[in-house]
Amino acid sequence: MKRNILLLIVITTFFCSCKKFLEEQSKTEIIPKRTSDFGDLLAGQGYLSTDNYMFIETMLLSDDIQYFSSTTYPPTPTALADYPVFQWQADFITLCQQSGSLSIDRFNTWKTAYKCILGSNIALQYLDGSIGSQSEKDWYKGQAYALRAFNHFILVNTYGNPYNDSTTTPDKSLGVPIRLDANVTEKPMARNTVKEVYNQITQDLDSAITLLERERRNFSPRIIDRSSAHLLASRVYLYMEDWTKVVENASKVIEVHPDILDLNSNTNSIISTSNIECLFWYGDSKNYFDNINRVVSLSDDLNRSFEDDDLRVAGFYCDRTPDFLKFLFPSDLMDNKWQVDNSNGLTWRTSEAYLNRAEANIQLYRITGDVSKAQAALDDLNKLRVNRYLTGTYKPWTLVSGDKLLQQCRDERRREFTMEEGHRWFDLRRYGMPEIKHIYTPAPGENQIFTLKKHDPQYTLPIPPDALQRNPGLVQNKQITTLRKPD
Amino acid sequence: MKRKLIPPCKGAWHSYAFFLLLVFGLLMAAGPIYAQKIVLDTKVSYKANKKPLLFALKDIRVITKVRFTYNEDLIRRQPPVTIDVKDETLEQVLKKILGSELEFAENFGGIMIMPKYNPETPVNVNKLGYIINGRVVNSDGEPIPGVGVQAQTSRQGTMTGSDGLFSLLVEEGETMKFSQIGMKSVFIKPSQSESFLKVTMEAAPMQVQEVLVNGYQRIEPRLATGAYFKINAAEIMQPGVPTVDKMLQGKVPGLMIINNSGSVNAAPTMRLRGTSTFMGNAAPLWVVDGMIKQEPVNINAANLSGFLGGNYSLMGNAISGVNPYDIESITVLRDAAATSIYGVRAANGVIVITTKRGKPGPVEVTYNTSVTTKRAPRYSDYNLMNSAERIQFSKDMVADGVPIGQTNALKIPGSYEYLLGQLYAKQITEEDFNRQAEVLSSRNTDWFKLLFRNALSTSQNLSFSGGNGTTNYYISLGYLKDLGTAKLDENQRYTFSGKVGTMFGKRLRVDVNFGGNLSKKLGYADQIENAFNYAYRTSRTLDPYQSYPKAYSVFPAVTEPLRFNYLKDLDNNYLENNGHSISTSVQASYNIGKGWRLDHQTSFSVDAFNSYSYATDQSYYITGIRGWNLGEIYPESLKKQTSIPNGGLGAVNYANSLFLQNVTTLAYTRSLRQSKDQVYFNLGLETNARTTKGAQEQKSGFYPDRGMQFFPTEMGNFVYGKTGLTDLKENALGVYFATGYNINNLYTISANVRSDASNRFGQYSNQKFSPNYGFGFSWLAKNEAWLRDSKLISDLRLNASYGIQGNVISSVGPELIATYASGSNPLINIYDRPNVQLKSLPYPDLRWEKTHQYNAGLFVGFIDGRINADFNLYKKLGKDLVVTHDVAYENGVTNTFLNIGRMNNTGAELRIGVVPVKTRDIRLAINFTNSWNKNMIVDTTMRNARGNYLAGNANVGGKSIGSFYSYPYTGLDKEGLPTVKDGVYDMQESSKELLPITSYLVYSGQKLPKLQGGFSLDFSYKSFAVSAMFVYHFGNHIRLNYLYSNNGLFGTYMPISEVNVNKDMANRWRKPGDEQFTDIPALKTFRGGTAPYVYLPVLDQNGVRERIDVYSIYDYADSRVVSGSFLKCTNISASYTVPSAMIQRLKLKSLNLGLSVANPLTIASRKLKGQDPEIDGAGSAALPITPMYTGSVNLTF
Repeated sequence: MKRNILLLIVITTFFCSCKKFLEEQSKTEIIPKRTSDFGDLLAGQGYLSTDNYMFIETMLLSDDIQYFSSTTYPPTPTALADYPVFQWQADFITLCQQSGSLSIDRFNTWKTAYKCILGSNIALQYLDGSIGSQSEKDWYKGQAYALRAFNHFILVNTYGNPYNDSTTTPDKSLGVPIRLDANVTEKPMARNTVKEVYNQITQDLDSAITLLERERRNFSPRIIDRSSAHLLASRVYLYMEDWTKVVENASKVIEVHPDILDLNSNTNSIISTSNIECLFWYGDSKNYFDNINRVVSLSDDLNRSFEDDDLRVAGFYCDRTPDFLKFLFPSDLMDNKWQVDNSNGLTWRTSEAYLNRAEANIQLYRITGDVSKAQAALDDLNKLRVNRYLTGTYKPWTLVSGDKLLQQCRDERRREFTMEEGHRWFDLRRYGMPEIKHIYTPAPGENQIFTLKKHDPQYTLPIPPDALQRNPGLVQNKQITTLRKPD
Repeated sequence: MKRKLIPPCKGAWHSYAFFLLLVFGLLMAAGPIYAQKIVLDTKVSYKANKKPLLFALKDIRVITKVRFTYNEDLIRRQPPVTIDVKDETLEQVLKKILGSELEFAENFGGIMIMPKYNPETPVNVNKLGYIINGRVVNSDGEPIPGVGVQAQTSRQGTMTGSDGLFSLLVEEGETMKFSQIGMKSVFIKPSQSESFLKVTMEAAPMQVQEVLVNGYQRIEPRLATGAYFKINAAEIMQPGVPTVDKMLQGKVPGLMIINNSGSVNAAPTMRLRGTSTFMGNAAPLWVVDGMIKQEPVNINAANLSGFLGGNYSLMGNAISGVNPYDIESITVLRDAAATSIYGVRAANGVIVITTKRGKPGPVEVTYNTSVTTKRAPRYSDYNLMNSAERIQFSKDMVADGVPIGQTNALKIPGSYEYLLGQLYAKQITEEDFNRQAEVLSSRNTDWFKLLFRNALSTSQNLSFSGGNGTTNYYISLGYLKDLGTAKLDENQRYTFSGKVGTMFGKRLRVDVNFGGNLSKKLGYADQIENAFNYAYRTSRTLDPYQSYPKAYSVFPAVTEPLRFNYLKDLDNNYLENNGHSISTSVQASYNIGKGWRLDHQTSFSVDAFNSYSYATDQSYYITGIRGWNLGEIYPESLKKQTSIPNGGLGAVNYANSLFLQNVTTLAYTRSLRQSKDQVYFNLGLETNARTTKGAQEQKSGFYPDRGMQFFPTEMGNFVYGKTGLTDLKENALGVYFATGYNINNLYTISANVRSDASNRFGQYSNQKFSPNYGFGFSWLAKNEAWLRDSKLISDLRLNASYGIQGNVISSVGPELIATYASGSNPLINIYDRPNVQLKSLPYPDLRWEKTHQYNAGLFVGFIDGRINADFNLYKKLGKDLVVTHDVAYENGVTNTFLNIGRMNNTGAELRIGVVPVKTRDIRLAINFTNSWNKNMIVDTTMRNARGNYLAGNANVGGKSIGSFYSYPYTGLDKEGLPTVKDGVYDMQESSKELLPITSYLVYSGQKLPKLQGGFSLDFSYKSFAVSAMFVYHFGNHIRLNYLYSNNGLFGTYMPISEVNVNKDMANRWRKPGDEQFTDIPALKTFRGGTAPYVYLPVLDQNGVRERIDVYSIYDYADSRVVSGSFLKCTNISASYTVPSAMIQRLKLKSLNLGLSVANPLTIASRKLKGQDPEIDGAGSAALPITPMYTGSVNLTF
């Protein structure tokens, strides 16, 4: 009998102590160990996901936009709730909140960009210890560096003074806190200077380019590769006014991707992975039009800048507002980019490389007087324009004065990047923060004109109040202290 | 001397063919043959040196387990013995040690020692002794070992053996005393003619007498050191109440039960000794017959996002499927010494249910039935306006220039505002207007009558019980149909339960339990408002059978507004939740001998859950999605734009889970020091595994009335079609050890330790095994020599315990955890990769949450238990509780987990039972149960949002959990608008320094009571019995129902035309000077048509100046907070037991008739005006609790 009992105990114990019984398991969760796991996580966290928002506030701030009241449909009181952004009010987040806006959480590029930076930092912190080949690790690290540079770049341009601010120097103006690790801290974090941030950005870009040049893979435009990294570098150096580096990096892009989509022969969406110009495609269409009861359209100012034979107006980028929608969009042009392709998000395109290189060459021409630079710029601009304008009526540009050429180049840039990626807002900032005006129509027929003055403090957005509250180490940007009134 | 001790077969068995497990019983009944042996031939090895004979005999008794009967005085007089024998028979040994004066004989399985017959000694005829043989049993007929049997004059004494048998030499006319701890002593004067004396000992009154079962352990009462509370189901049974948890209200010290809803499917909120976690589940654990009861629904919540009507709270809690009539007793384990063998799950206490087992004897059939009717709620219960008052209110609004209907885009015909609009637009004449207004004014639609019913519920229970002593069985069937007063509120339950226990030989006992239940629950689907909410807030001027416009279509082309009718919606939305559960457990207890016992229990249960929900094409929900009213004709092109052009939406959800639990315990009990001391230990191993599989599907185009078929469109499938699978596996392993030592039957010390492990993902490998400890001490003061004979104090016990319980936070771990996207997120993200997102950064420093628990208890009984008091004090110190802190966005995550939370619970529990009258015919018993709990959050670094302070879910240092705050109201101003301390109407006006929200809002009290409990009165006279039960809550506060926030238009709070309002609104401020008489604000709008706003001198959670409309301020003002204390009569019942003489002709054993009324009376603050203080939350949509009348019949035959 005793033996039986002993046996029973042994069996029970054996059954229960089975290692497998206590093996941790989950069908929905993983502890990333392999390099590809971190690649997946980078795609999910470091790249902008479709449920996070960027650029919404910058879109409403630029002079490309017209904001209307809604008259009949849809009958929501929230339609007008985002007007404080459009009016360049200093505490627009608070005001929007009080007017019942549904987009408060979307006016938080700060939060979104740092979330993506964490994605990059996780990859950079853990990839070296992961299981996988060095080549694969380098490939993901290159992407992570490029993404970290990009997000810091967006942040410093949204919440810091422009790098080329003529009233100060970048080492004196405050940028944003630089984040380089994936650890959570409760300690206050101070803002780095604009210069420090840009130094970090260029350093990250150097790392990215080195690694991505080594790993010359090209799967799809959905992943940042060497060309995308070069394009970003050309953009960053453009903002830093390092013209030769702009030319250098833009040329690297054009070397690999010289083609421009000819709108004369193509009816596909411009913002699409199927566009031959597409270098990198990310995010969601919500990032330039988030469909949240807001009634916005292209500004008259932008309307006027389009020439008649511009194919971009005829259905690709924008469209003539049909009569039946006039009650809703009194403006002549409606933005149309997002309506063509279901899968569209935001893209980096070859056209930007041409425009960046052209602008840098024009600047070099203005500085040195070297006409070959001007000609190079004209070549680039005409290469773009010949594909954007109706064949037959299109006439190439010819050499004019440096200032005029610069203006032509900037106008073309504005038309090319209508409502995209905050380009216009950032460009206005680096063009010296000129005075711009917004016409606000609270009710049909009632117009109020708001003015953003030259060098207006609102050119640098206030840090969102909740971000300030969470981090006592932050110093708020200088703001106007009263409610901005219409002229 | 050989004798057959037990008849081998006790008559014929009543056979019930369907009863499969009876087989065991039949096997047993065939052959229990009592093993006979010659006691004197037992081999003994024994060594002693100059030991008193008395002790030597006790030693031999312990070795041989042979019962000795002797006169103690005689043995004491004998010289000490010296002996050294090996393997000699008992006979030889006894001969050696008993010397010449004594002789012995085998008698009745024991040895009787007596003085040697000496013919020279004169025999006193009067003192002639005779031998009494017998057996001591308890009230269940089970033998009691170790009972001291003593002849009072001759000092002959013995102790019963393991079979309860004894034999003793007594003198003529002498009294015998039978005594044991925990039992009432029995005195018997046996007569010589008594051949076999059967002594039944009863448990001492109001004392935890029987063996305590804490689920995994059987503890003798004197060895229990923890805070146990045991109550018999018979004491709390309330016919007509479907689940046992509701019956426990006010009856268990330390247990707080709040009935949040009058719905038949609602499970009450339960807290045992307060709340001790911020993030985890705070409800106690239920254990039924050693088997842990799981919550009925376990579906991956992410899979259910976007599903229709998923109201799974309908499914009730872990014991919703247990028929209260099957319950024998309930033991509540409150402190760490009692609960620590359950490990981490028991941090909130354990409630152990023991179900009925068969009683030996011929089959006994019990049938009981009850019929219950619940009264429908009615307008007189609430302070609401009737049609005429509502129309007068509208008229007054017009007179006051309040912009009625101005912002109301859809004018509802059936309202005064609508008629007025027509009059102004000259669509009707003034005459028509007056006539129609008169119609409305007298319409007085009774929504409560239309949407509620006087619900009739029934329950039927049938049980069989019987057995032959070695094999007993109990089987029951139950049916319950419980209808709520709200028309869609219904619960039907079928239960069956069976229990067979049998002894295989003397050592092995096997119990087989099996049971199951089937339930069908109907309720309100999430897409429609519940009936109470609708009735409460809808104007009585509306025609209940007319469809009124409610909203515009999403399509501009559809100009006709969408129409809504609540009665129609009730018919076109459906929610049914079904649960099926079958469980079986086999308990085997093997008595190894020498104090060792091995217990094993294997249980498994299969729980199936399914839910059907739909909304038809006629429902308003589908109308809104479709974009036009059914029957209106629109072009085909529109049909292509809508996602549900035909049919409605249907959803099904299935889940099956298999739960397997194994508990193996090795127990050892041994008496030491001549039975003065006792030692025990239990070593246990528990494993359990739960596998859940399920599928969920939702599709559009559903036609429930056309063969339940779907006709979806591609777009409908894309937008509303959902499919999900659930596959979960949860394994856990626990090892526990419990030990105790009792000295002199006076002091007991005990210790428990348990360690748990599980397969939970991403847990701390170094802390896979979490220790839980408990230590206890008890002092049975009544057994002290100086108290033993006290007539006044019949019982006195003190106990104290301390323990630590760990709790684990499952959402984070030491390693980086990523998760695959779920719910509505795509599985492949836009970057063509699996959609993997960060779930948790590594938290290598996070520790277990720990709760230190101290308990001190005192139990005292007076005058034979006529008065007794049970008093407990406890302190629970929660340390290292995990809380989340917001961190800077720069971290990339919004919060972090920290072990900084601390929460303390201090409390006292007092239960007093008094039996002031107890005669043969009359008995009166009064019981008071009082529990005081003080909960305090110690940590002061918690961060909360404003809304949390107002709603009462903010965690504030120094305050209790559930504390809520209000605006400091300062009365009405001259405009009739509510004012608030330092609030201004214009942001520019104030130069005040901005305060943090906590220093501005005022503390309004806590939602949960500080002191709660109940008292009961039970009175019986002969066959009549009357009882009453009262429950009370003290020290809690409640907000009055909103006057404005519930019925106003968004942004303005002006009551809209179809909404009914509180009668108090008639007394609102209307003209200057009214502020002297009324506290109800004026109805006013500011420029832009919104409610007036006030700027508070505080910062909101975004760091900006707080701006609140005055009506929200009024509804959340401190002036609208009243005491939530109440005294409720929960039950009054009367019963009559028909005398057996009257029912004998009916061949009945007993017949009992009962009548009861539940919830007849509530005494609470007068300011509540009909609002139920037990239902939390102003504006709560919970169904009301109404009086309930039950009649019941109970038969046994």
